[in-house]
Amino acid sequence: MTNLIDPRENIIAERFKDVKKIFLVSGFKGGIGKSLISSSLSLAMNDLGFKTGLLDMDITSSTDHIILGVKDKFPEEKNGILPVEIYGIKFMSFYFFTMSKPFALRGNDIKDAVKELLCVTVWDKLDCLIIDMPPGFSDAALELMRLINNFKVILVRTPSPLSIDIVSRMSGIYKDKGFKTIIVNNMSKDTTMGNSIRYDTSIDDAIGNVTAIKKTQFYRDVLSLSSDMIKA
Amino acid sequence: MHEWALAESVIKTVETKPELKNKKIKILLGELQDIDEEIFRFAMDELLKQRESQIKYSIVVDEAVFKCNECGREFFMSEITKKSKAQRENIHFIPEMVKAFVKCPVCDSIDFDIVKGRGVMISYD
Repeated sequence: MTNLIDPRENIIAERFKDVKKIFLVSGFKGGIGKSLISSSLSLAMNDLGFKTGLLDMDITSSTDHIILGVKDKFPEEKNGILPVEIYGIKFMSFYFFTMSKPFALRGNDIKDAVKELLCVTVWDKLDCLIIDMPPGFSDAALELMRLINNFKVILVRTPSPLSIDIVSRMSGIYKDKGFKTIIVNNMSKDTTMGNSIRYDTSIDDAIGNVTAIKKTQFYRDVLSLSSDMIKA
Repeated sequence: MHEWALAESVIKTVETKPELKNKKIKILLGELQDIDEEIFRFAMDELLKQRESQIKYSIVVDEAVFKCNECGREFFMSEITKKSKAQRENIHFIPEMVKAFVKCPVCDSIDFDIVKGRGVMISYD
């Protein structure tokens, strides 16, 4: 009988061995600011002097490249694939390979694409890696949970009762597996709450322009959270 | 080269899986991923030399087969319209990117499965 083994899984731990901290940014619902927070958090960590990576794991709807204004760059091939360097951050996204074409993937394709990117991306030494997760809790999240087991989860929620409900219900999956979770209150009107990012309409106008992003209240709030997060 | 990363994953797997100890393995290179066999073989041999490893292997190109989820038709690489160099390169990095550039040759659907011949696999008896 012929047996088949997928070799990619066995190299993934090696790819992350020099990454000190990994933060998954999730929140399960779409439109709650996961990508803006992931991108800004990466910039903030880098501003604080930490060597930082950003991985956009939203395969079919990646947007971190738009937020950071990434244009005309492509990962270099060198014993694997090297993330693009932008504003001091090592950045990897499926966007580089889709050529902005729309496409749809079924579950097995998502699992394979996640595994492939984790297998071939060479992060080298990082103080922290931020992983921007797609909405929901399905193949990409399950595959990451299976293949990488040393991350903390930043759960983004908004004041919407829908967002609060889904975070409180779904966070149990991570907690039960022993992953540390940190709740971040985005679009917050109550500044007395911990880990709050205030509602700031100017952030939309700053998208694509990192200099403008760094002048927003949104970024200042993310920056003030970052130093606590790296210690978490 | 990207081939080095995949060769490294094969060697790491053979070194860590007890069921592969002292087996002659067959490495399947999926036609879809279009791995450069010469570079892959060179990477394998160099990495094996560095690790003083005695792994015996052969390489076989695994034909890619797709199946449309709408009309049910199976199709092959030869039926796919020739892709640009950039598109082929992106499929080479992440084979699932074929879904961004290819449609079923019969019904034009974007919903099809990669049945076989996707990427690198280890086969053994």
